[in-house]
Amino acid sequence: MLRNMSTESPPQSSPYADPGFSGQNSGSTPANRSRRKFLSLLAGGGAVAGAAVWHTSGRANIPSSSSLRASGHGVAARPPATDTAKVAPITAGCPGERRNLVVLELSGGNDGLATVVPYSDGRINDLRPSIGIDPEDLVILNNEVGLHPSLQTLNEQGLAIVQGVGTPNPNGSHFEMERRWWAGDPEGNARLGTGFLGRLCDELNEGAPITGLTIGTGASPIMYAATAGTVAFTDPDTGWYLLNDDPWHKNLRMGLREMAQPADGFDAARTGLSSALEFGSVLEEFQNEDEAEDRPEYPYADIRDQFMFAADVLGADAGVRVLHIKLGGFDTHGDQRGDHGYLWEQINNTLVPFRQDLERLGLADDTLIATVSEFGRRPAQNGSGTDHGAASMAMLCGPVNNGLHGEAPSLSKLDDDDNLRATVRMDEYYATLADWMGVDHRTVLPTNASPIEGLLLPCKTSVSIRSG
Amino acid sequence: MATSEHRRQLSHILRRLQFAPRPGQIAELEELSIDKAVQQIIDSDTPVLLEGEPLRNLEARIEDGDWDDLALWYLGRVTAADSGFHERMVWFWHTHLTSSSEETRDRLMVRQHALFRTHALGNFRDLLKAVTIDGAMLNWLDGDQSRGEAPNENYAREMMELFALGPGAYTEDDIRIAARALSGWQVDYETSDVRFDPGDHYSRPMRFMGERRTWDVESIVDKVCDQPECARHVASSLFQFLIGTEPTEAELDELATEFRASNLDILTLVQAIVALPTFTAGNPARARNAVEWLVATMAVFGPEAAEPEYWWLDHLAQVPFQPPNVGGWAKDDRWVGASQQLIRTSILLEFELSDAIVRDVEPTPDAVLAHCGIFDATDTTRNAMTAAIEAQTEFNHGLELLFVLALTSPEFAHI
Repeated sequence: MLRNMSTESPPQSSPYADPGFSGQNSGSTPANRSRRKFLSLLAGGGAVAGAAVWHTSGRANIPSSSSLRASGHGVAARPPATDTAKVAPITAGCPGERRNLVVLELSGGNDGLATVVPYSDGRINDLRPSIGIDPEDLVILNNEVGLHPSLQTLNEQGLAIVQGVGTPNPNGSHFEMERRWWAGDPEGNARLGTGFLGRLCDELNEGAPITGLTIGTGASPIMYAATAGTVAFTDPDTGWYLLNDDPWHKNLRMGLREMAQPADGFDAARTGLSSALEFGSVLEEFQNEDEAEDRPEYPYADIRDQFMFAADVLGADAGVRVLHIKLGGFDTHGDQRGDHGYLWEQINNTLVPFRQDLERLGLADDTLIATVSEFGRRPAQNGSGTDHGAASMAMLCGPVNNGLHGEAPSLSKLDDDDNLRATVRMDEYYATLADWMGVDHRTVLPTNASPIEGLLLPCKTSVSIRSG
Repeated sequence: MATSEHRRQLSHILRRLQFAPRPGQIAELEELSIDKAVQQIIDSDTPVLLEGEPLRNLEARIEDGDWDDLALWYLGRVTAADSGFHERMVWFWHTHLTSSSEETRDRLMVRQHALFRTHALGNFRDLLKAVTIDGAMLNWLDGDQSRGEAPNENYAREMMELFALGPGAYTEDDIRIAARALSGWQVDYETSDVRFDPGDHYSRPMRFMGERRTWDVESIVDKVCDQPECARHVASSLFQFLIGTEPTEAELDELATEFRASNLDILTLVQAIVALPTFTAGNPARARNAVEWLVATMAVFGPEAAEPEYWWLDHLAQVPFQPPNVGGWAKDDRWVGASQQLIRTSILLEFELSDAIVRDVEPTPDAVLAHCGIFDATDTTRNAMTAAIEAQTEFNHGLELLFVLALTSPEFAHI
């Protein structure tokens, strides 16, 4: 086949294989074919048996959702998926100059009220007679709220919650609200062609080929940048042709480079070709981190491979500063207890080892993980789930002040659609992230918002803030 | 005798009306004027329907088979020798009236697919009514959990916002009322049949879009379809699918008028769109989405060139029957972004050149471009291919190089 134009021997499989996993994609993946493992060019690494599995759909791979429905899988108190010993907290220090941001997008609209439960407010029982969570199961944070039990170990390790995150004029449409969150446009009238993370990359751009990376799903408007290189890619084996050194592949790259010249129209396509070629230089920096003996174990989760790759990218110090990973499945119109609980279990089980991995790489102080979701859910349940809502919450891990921030949205003073009113605005949240990255938030947001006080560690956080 | 301009136009309309030219089809069409060629493509196509026993057999096969069977079955269908304009319209409806096999059972998706095959060129009202009470759709947008006393708004909202009217053409109240009116339908997951339980249906009179009466699926869908925004929304969506840009106000007025006058007959709308000058004369205006690119690529290489793999679709971020959300797949330049380019080139390297291609296609840029249906290559693309072939000293591998470049070209990536 065309691939065999090279004279070198065919490859083995991805480093991200989990030999124990026998999930959906194990049957037909690049790993099963004669493909080059690009990492082996550099590290001379050995084969890892199994299949490269990336869940590119971005939706939570709820294992046989029919079984979750049938069993009425609830959120009874259950032990964390990691062992029962407590997880050691990671006390982040003050970040240095080169900070990294990892945004975990909770796609579908995450129910803030089921993640951070206002258990002491009697109204929650009236609103959620059957899908509510028993206070005995919660991870109690104070005498008002408790965390979903799935977050037990991540909480032990350290996390911050910003309550009541939303927008002043919420809308019930996924598309409208995703557009606003991707663009960083709370009111929805700014008509921006770039994404919030893309603009951050433009400001952070130091000439590296790729500054922003979406891992595991296709290109997202959140990463659309004006000048910085941003790429989305779905599999670590993609792009090996960029590294192969035999004459045929060199001529292919030469032809692609020529075709990517900015002339004769088709600008978007030619730019795409050009960025794809640049991605090769990011791949070249890679080390095969999988072989590090003290790498923490990442249990199975839909976002496991993406976060492992994220750790490797950050560890390689190739100039990538902003990462974006998407987890879908949060649009819980039905079967919320099971589905929502399982999603947060996966987040917990991935972020705990991810932060341990960052610590191992010396990056724990410099890497902020932050969630984003298009909206929350309606306070009143509907059947076994909830309808689209408004205000929700955000979760952050890393060099932040752990614990609760913001103000819990009121359950009694709902808006005209019976939804939660935001107490923290989207642009205030984004301004906090931008400033932390050393980017003046006024250059990346269309509105004037103040960052959230006290969320970040009491360090000199305004390190070389760049203004436009 | 076709001029190269005539071939260019033919190739252009074929890219818009079909996934790929059928073997021998270009030669057939070369004798006709472009307008007659357009009609030939639309009229001579025999829709392949899925009904009765073949439908039941397919449902059973897919249900009992592997999780990747459905998507791969569909790839087989659209790359079959008889794949034509009807297939293209079925694909349009699948991307517009979305449901996903990730949230429902595969056999229900098969039944929904059959529904699209039946109604693709029929009447939009009938199509919308059928899809509203389709099992996969009831499952996907929670209609099957919607009871009169606790109506689920999901379907009502998406039906108005995405399927029929477009944003801003309805109120939150309309959604709430419609949700009540559409309640009472349930899916039997064993048989895939759908049934209506009047006891679970909200049957008290309500005011909806200015009219007070008792409402049900028929009357709600009719009322929605009666709105002027409906004809406009559907016409605009189909225009963008076939042509790639948004219609001008004048174009949209014309299309909506004809569509409404025909009582929302889909074929009438198609004819109105292809009659617009911008259909035949315009430039390629939108990027091919992944499935469109892949099917066209497979047609270029020919049927034996490679066994299609599920991971191609997965990594291209477009698996048939698994749209990422109810809005369907992206319709913008994302399809030619860096991420797509990375995957597409990787996939191209999986193919083999057939003996026929090696025998019949000269290893020159123009010959390869022509074989890929490109008669209007830019200098930049042609020069890139020339530079590469000149550097490639091993001659027959040069043909492979030219094909990879031609199928990666911006020209091939747009319709």
